[in-house]
Parts: sequence; structure tokens; C-alpha cells
Amino acid sequence: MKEGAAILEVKDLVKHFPSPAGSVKAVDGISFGILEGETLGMVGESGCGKSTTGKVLIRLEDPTSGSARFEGKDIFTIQKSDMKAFRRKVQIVFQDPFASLDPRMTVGEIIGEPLLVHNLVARNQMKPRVQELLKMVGLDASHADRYPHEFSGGQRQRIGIARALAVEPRLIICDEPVSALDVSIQAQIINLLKDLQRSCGLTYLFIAHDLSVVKHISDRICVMYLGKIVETADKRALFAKPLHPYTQALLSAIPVPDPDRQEERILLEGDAPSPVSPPAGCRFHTRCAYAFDLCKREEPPMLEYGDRHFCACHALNKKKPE
Amino acid sequence: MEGIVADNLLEVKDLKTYFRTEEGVVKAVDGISFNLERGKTLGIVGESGCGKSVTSLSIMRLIPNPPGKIVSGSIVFEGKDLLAKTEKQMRGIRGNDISMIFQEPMTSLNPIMKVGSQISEAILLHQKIGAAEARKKAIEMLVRVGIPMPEKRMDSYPHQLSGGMRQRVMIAMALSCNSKLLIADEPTTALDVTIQAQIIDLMKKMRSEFGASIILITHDLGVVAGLADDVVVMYAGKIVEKADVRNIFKDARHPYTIGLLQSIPRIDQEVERLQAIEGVVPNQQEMPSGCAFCPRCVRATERCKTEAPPLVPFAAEKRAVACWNASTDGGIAK
Repeated sequence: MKEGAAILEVKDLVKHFPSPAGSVKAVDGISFGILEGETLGMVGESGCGKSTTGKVLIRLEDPTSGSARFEGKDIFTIQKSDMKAFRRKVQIVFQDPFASLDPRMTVGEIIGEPLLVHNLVARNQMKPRVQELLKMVGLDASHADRYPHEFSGGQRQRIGIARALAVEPRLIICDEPVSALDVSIQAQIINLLKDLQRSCGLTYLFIAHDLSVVKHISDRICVMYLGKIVETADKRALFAKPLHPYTQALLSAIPVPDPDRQEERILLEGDAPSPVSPPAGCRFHTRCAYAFDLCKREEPPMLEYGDRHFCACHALNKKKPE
Repeated sequence: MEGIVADNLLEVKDLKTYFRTEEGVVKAVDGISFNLERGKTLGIVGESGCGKSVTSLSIMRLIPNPPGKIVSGSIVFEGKDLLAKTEKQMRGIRGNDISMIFQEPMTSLNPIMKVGSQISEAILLHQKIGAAEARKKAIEMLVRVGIPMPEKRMDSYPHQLSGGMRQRVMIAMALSCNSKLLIADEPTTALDVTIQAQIIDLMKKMRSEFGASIILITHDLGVVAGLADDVVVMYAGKIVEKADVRNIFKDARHPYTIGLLQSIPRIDQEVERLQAIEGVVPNQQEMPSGCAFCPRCVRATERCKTEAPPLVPFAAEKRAVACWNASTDGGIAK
């Protein structure tokens, strides 16, 4: 486990969206930190709030409440004039490499734009810098003159990564960066992200629904359910000994590519409730096999169960004293 | 593996499905042959564009023409060639003898028709029973696929259901006519992992209850390992390897199969670095004259560049691999 200082510290982050049916509680009070140089994986199923968290942290959405300190400064109170400096340090890579690149710009223009916006190179130095970035992500220098549609999904994701790297950020939020890609290409991009982390000293917030991928790339993992973090732990601890009943079900649901290892799965009943009207108490109680009275009334506090393994579950505490 | 010996529900022979495009002819499926034994589940695995979905649409005779066309081959279902059927005959087979479920159930359900009416419609179309009885049967099907409050759900519209529920409705519809063959094209890809587990569980249950044979098309090797009996691996329109599920995962022979297995991060193993398959699938215009996988292959030799390897059976005809330099140790056994 890496023991760096926290580069990002999120506290009680809330993001509600108005909707005709009532406010959607996409993120409903989450706190976590990311250490310098580590990869924090954030997993959960559709609608758990993981992507909203990423968008709020890069200030594409304004939070409803809460704070997030990046290198000690609250990013939610940044003045407009300081926004540019912030964006230089925090970048994002999106899921869909088809939607996140301007089809009318050449690859050179796409990667060069942030360099110009941030005044990082003189105009005559731009071309060599773009070529250098292309090489860093495993593309050819000659690709700079081509348009996004001439590239495959994996190559486009490399372009998106090169664009993020152009400003030499410290933190990259990766929002499902490989889920649109075929498995053989997925591995290429995961390896690239790992290599770049080492060579550029990057910190990642890696948001994804695929637990196998998250396990491979992360140092620590947060598990989200309906706008809340239910468990955070070092990845080995999380996979070896998941504490939260939701984490247990989630891990057991992953299909294992081994016909001899088809163990009994913990099947959850039904679907996750709507984030418009999440259940009172513990949000997971409606689908939890261990739920008891308290779970329906009171939200479980996040407690530590040894070596930075945090979990919010009443049933866990009930068992503890026995 | 002749049809007379094994009890084959489906025999696909030398199927070629081509598409005419502005850039030239795209050989989406280029001469594939496989059999499906009655009661078995066959997994067809491969990445985007390998031809796995076109294979399933060919079996259903749902290839849009133009631009697509089944140019040769045979698809023998219960002893009869589907390619010789008229469109009218095919309509009697689709949804009755052979049913299909798709990745995104929202696009296969009619958004302005109640779920109950859609299931009843399928039953009424293929079975000689009255409307009231069809409705009763539809409710019974919803119960069997585990939809809570089935009577109430009969009157729901598709958008009022979650993705998992919609897929359950599709399965209910597919099995309402006791189909002998269920083609499931990426049935769980659009679903969350806990919902995916529910649907896989349901498919297993349906398989044993209805005795249907299944063709499972997916890119997810984990799903295949849990559901399939036999596996066909496709690459660029061709079958590169086929074997029973155990041998595919434990003793793969084709470098592409081995590469696929090594490139996925696994929950049950920890590796520092994934073994990616370098490069990308060549597009149709740049297809090598030899083996299509040759430009990305770690075992490629001179011969691979010019001569396409045939699919050669071995192990008492139970397996086959199309590679001049097939691994003999399973590659992944290491």
C-alpha cells in the first residue's frame, strides 16, 4: 500500500439533480481521499453515482453541497480566474472515444488545443510536442494530420489520453475508459494507463463497473450503492474479505472465465431502488439478506475494520461483540 | 460428428454471408460450419465485427437484403434447410421453433404496446388458442421468469420496467412457444453485474425446464465459461477454433484464443501486466491473403502470410483449430 499524502480529499459530497419526479439523489454524502500516485477504483452499478462523482470533481457539474480539497485547496470555491490552473492539474478521460473527440478537428489539433489554451508551448514548438505525446500513447507521429473517424475505438481512446496528458496533469479521472472497447484492445489501454502512471507520476480516480478491470488497475477501491460509499479498502483486502453484503454479492456475481470454478452466487433480489426515493436507513436494506430493524431506521456509520478497511453496515457491528 | 451419429438440432455448413458496401464486399461470415446438439448450449465468442451476430441473424434469415446476402452454405434445422424455406415458412419458424433475445431489450420490445399484449401476441400467432387463454399463458410465463406481480406487469409498458425485467420479458416471450432453439445475442451485456447474474441463473433454469438448446453469442468469456457446453471462437468472419468449453479455457490451441484469455483481467488471478494482443482487427479492404490473424499473431510464420489455414479437426473430431502453428501445450497451461 502506498503511503503518500492525500492529493484529493472529498468530504460529504452531495449532488442532487432536479427532476419532475422529485430530486434525484445521485450522490448523497460521500467522503474519500486519494493518495498521491495511487489509483483509487470506484465501482458500482448503473445509477450508483460514480460517474456523477467524477463530473463534479472535475467541475463539469456543480455540487449541491460538500467539499473537495485538491492539493489543500477547495475546488468548489475556485474563482473563475483560477479555473484554468485547476484544469491543468486535473483531467478526465471519458468512456466513449467516439463522442469525446471533435470529428472536425485533426488529431494534431485535438491534442494541440490544450497546449495553446494553457500557453504551454510556442506555436512553432507545437508540432514536435504533439508528436511526442502521440508516441507516448503508442500512436504514430504521422497520425497528427488525420481525423478521429479514421481511427479504431482503441486508437481514439489513446488520442483522448494524449489530450489529457498534454497539460501534464497530476490527477486523471478515468470514467469507464475501457468499457466501450473489445477485450484485446482493453488490455492495451489498461497497460498504457499503468505505464503512463509510472512514467508521468500520475494519480488516477478510476471509475468503472467492471470489477475485474478495477481490481487489476487499482490500489484501493470504493464500492458505491445508490449514492453512498458502502465500503472502501485496499484492493487485496476487499477481494479477500469483502465486508459489506452488497460488496459480497457484487463480487460473487462476476462471471469467472473458468468452467471449473462456477461457485454458488449470491443472487440479489430485484433491482436497485430509484435514487429519487432511496430507502430510509441503510439504502441496501431492501435487498440485504442480513437486514434487521435498525437497518430500516438508521443509516449505518462508516467504521474502520482494521488497516484502512472501511465499511458502513449495521449487521457487521451486530456480529462484532459476539 | 456426422448428423446421423450425434443428435444435432442445428447444422450450419460452409455459411457465407456477405454485405455489399461502397468500399467493396464485406465478408462478414466467410465459410463457417458448426453443429449444435439437442439440449446443449453453444457459445460463439469473438470481438466486434468477427461475424458472430451476423451468424445468428443468418440462422434467423434476418439479414437485410440488400446490402446483405447469404451467398452459400446450408443451415439445417431439425433436418430441414432453412435457406430453402420461403419467407412465409420462416415466419412460422421465427418466434416459434427458433426464438431470439438481443442485447438491448428496449429496442426489441414495442414501446407503445403493453408487455402482456406483446407476449400474448407471440402465443396467439403460433398457437391455436383463444385470447383469454393466451393471456393466462403469458401471465404464467412471467411467473416462470421471476417477474413479481405478473398480473400488474402485464399492463406495464416496456419503459416502466428495468433493463433486467425487460430481458426477463424477452425470455418469457421467447420461451412462450416452447422454442427448441434460443439464440441469445449478448443477452447480459447491457445489464449490471448483479442483474447479469440473475439473468444467467434464469437462463440455466429455463434450459433445464424447457430443454431448449441455446446459441449464446457473447464477447464475455466469463459468461461463456458459466453457461456453454461447447465453444466456437470467431475472428474476422471465420471460425478459428472450436472445442468443448473445458478445453477452450484449459487447453486452447489457437493463438487468438490464447491471446483473448490472457488479455482479460481476472478476478481469480493477479498479474502485474496484462498480455494484450497487439494491433487491431484488419478491416475488410486490408484483409491479409493468408491468415487474418497473422499481423497480430505471436506465432506467425511466412506461410501464414500467404496461405489461409483450414479448420482442421483433431482429438477424435471433437475439436478443431485453424492455424499452421497451433499451440500443442494449450499455451495458457504454462
